[in-house]
Amino acid sequence: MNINQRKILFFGIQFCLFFLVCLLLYPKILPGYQEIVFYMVEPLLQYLTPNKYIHIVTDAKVGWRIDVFEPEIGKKWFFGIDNQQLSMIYMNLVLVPAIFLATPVGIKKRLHLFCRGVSLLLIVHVLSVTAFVYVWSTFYPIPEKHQLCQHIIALFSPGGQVFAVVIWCSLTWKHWFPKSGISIHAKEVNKIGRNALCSCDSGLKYKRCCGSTV
Amino acid sequence: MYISLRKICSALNSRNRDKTALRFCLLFVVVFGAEFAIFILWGFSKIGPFLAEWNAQATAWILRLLGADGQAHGVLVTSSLFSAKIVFECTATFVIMIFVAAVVAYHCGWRYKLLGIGGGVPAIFLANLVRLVSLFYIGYWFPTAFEEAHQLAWQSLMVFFVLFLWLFWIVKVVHRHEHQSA
Repeated sequence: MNINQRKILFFGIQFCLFFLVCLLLYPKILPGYQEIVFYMVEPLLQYLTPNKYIHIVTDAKVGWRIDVFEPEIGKKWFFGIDNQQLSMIYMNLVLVPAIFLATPVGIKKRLHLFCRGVSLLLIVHVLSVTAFVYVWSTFYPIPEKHQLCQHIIALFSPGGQVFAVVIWCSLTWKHWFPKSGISIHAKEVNKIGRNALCSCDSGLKYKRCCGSTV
Repeated sequence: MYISLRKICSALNSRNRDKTALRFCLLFVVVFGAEFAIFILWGFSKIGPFLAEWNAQATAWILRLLGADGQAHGVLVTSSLFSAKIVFECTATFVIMIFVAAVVAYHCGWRYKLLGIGGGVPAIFLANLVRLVSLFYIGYWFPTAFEEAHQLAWQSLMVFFVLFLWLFWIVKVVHRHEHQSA
């Protein structure tokens, strides 16, 4: 197995450093990131709600103001989503980049993992913001459905945490467990030279990677 | 046409590895979904208030030990630093559910899984108490940073703690016992 105590501790220390960096960068990145998300969300909302024009306006102090215009009935209204509810959606913006950057593999692999992780994160944020605004713009005018809206918001926090664990495990699994699943590989691995590159694509020498525990 | 045995083994290994990862991820989502459904249908109303009250008592006790005069009145914790209401989301239940799902979904014997859950759940409870107590100090010393620390930093750190604990369990319990028995 390519997993050992030293590697986990190294992962933990690196995570703390990258987490601090991501946390400090978060307020600077968030406005630009939100613009990108909204740019993708608005066409999706237009497709889902053809009878409404929905426009999202951000306010650093309040959160979001979502303007809804229904031309058929000539009704114009808006609703707000505060920063506390928003942090449930964007919580992963600090966690996911930090855990991918801290994964103990070569720099090239690390950047590759980071790009894949952040791309997936962007897709999930676009989908979750679309779902969030769609549900609110559809059910908010109906008082009986307010409870449903609250339940959906409550799902975002654990949902985001589960998503972070799943994408991290699925993308980094082979770096942690490169030899799981087949026994014949163990015989093959013994033929690799100690100073040769490891067969698990980590970019490290065999003696520093899978060979360290043999 | 020459195809080396090594290449075939490597391809097979990669496919098996992907299958193991996929199996883990699917099982993880299914187990977490089941836990979440059980909790929403049954546990939320029955265990939720008890957990919140227990966490409030424990936080107040630690605050008293640290000399901050912590007092618990139901789910409300008052101290000389800061006062806060411990709600159900503050009890780390979701994080524990993630840990239990990750341990159950990993491919190993049930004995190791029970060891993992038995050791991991109290560790997460303790980490959550550290989180709650630290939030009282953050709220007192840096009131402007309280929301970020509460909603963003500590939530992310708790998820990382679960991942860290899970990897630690794999190395310390599962692999060590497997190596000993091999």
